[in-house]
Amino acid sequence: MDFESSSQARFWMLNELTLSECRAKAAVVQPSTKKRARSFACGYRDRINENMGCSLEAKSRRMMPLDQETLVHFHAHQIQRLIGPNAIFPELQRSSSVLSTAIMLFRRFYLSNSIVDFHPRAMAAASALLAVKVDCEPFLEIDVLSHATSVISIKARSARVCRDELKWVSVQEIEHAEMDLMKGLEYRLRCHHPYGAIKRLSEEMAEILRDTRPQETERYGYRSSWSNSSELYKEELLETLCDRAIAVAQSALVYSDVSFLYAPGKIAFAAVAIALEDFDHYSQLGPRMTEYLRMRFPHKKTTELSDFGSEVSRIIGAISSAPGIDIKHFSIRPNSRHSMAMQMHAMELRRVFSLVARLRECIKRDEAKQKRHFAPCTVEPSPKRRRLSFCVPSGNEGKFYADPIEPARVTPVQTPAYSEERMLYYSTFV
Amino acid sequence: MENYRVTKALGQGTWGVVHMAEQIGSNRVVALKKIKSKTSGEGINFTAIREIKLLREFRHENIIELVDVFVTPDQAVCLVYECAETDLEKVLNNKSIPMSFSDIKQHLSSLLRAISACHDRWILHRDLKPDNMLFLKDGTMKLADFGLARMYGTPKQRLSPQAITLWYKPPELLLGSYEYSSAADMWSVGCIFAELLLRRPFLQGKQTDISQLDTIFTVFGTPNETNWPDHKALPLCARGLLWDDVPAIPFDEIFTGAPRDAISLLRSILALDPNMRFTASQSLSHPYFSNEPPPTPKEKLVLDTPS
Repeated sequence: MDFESSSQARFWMLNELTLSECRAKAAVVQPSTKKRARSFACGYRDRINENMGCSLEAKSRRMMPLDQETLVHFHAHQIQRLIGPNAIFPELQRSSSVLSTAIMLFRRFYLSNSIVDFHPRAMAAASALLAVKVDCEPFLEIDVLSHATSVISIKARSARVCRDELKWVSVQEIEHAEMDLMKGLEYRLRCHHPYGAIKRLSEEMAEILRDTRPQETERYGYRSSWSNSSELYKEELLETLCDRAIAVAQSALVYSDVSFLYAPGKIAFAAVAIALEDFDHYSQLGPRMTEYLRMRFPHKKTTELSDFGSEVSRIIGAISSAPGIDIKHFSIRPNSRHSMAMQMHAMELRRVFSLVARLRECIKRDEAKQKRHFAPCTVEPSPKRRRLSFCVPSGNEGKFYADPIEPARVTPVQTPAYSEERMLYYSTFV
Repeated sequence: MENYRVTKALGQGTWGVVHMAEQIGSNRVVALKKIKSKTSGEGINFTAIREIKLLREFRHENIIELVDVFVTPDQAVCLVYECAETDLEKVLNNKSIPMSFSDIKQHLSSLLRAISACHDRWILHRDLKPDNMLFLKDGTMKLADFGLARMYGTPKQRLSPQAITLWYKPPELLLGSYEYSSAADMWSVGCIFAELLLRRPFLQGKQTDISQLDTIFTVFGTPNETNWPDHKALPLCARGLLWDDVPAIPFDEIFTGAPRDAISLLRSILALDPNMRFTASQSLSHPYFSNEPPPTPKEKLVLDTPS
């Protein structure tokens, strides 16, 4: 299919400028009396000058767009427990492309809407529900989904910082959220993912690696006894390469903006390059990928190929600099589970959690008082609260999305240094 | 809902009532289909979502335009289409409307263009029949009803053989195939083409799949190693369903009076073996469309009883 003519290319591709504009507008909280799902992000690029039905008045209450993004990332990441290969119930365990569709629908929705207006947990459940239908998967009952959120909320009860976020969502809430979601997406639902391209590309790369540089495959940790059969060699190589590239693409979908900026085919190329670790410090494409490009497209001009290459390296740069992604995690030998970047991200999340909790509290209070005017409310993290050591509940600890399921269990995470804080366990879901 | 003024009911579809309505402000006449979920616990009806998702991908002259969508508070989805005057079923049934070979050529080429646009986007329509070929006031044919349509081409994805209206159902679906592709739609196109030539449905089985298969095989002959090499792999054949050997009836005997190039194209589209069937784009480049007579321009098509 021609991606250029798809609705994703026509309506859901933005550029850095329009993306940040959208986010600035999306963060504006609507007055509680006329709350409606906004959908200005759909086709925003082509109609910048239109009135979007929301103004950027100084008085309107809003979150910082970056904070909203952090929270959206957290919830997008948590969707994998509700649907997809790592979901907590067998009924919810679907293909990873359904998961990706759910994540993409979720992120599209919050390009036009504020997380304060629509609770992200309800929208996440609704995205899962809608994604199943959009991808024509077997029927999914809302009850099951609602029950899944309740089980997760029970597990999250011990996690003080994020238990309000991972709340239980009722069936009615999901039903309403689904309608809001459809509205907020302007009914443009089709999602394109890079996985098909990744599979194809990693097949070709595996073949090249096997044929041209047998010593390269040594790097991927293969036992020498396997080297007798080059077919087996290739199969194994392909499997790891493909899994790793898909994991990169999934994380990129959750944490970075590349799916709003670039075509899926190019994202696939970047993901395979990252999986092969074939890029340098300036995220320029490495020798193997450039050689592949030259070999695969001998009739294209050199300038065209270098344009393509530089676009791919922009994607690599965007993925590796995205918050919550540690590019080393995808390395052939992952060295650190909770690296510096992850810890930074966790701290950031903590701050945003308390922020949004306060903002929600403010709005609730306002609604109770039935006040007509909207005074800007200053939101600061409370100084009294004790600092808990906190790391992101990362779903499947350190593994890739495509990995097989293990039964859900609650594992306490060891907090490193302070002895008194060691008592404050934080639960993660494995 | 507040943007539309309902004028009259147009009919009852599979999934809900269709109303004619006027868009307030622009005064554009539209058709409004309200789809409500029948089973509780699934949220918004999935056929509605399927149709919305697929129709939003198109901007094609011969595919119905989805003007607008909205949800009503009672969880029903309203799909707003452009309003059609008539459909091919009505035209065919109205014997006072003449249909020349040029008209047939125009109808078929519109249908093929729509189908080839679908297949280019990896979409299977799965319910091609004259009722779903609508005509606008200006004579443009619009393919409608994507409620059964599916994306295809993903490996290992099973598609249900319970699709497509019986008379337009291809033999591989009748034999229980789960993996079919664009060729299934092409069989329906062939049936519609034959219906245009005959002015009556071509393969009229009696309600059951087996009877439809009988009808097909009396015309095309029973499948064998030459006309359909891998039919034995299909579920029903694998379970040992057998037919008495019947020879095929030559098309010239059925379609007496039809031009030679039309019969040649028809024969290429209606091949038993789905792998041998012409694709939509192959059919469009068939000499039938470049030969005389040229297709009637769409404005000159007669679609209603001359008053």
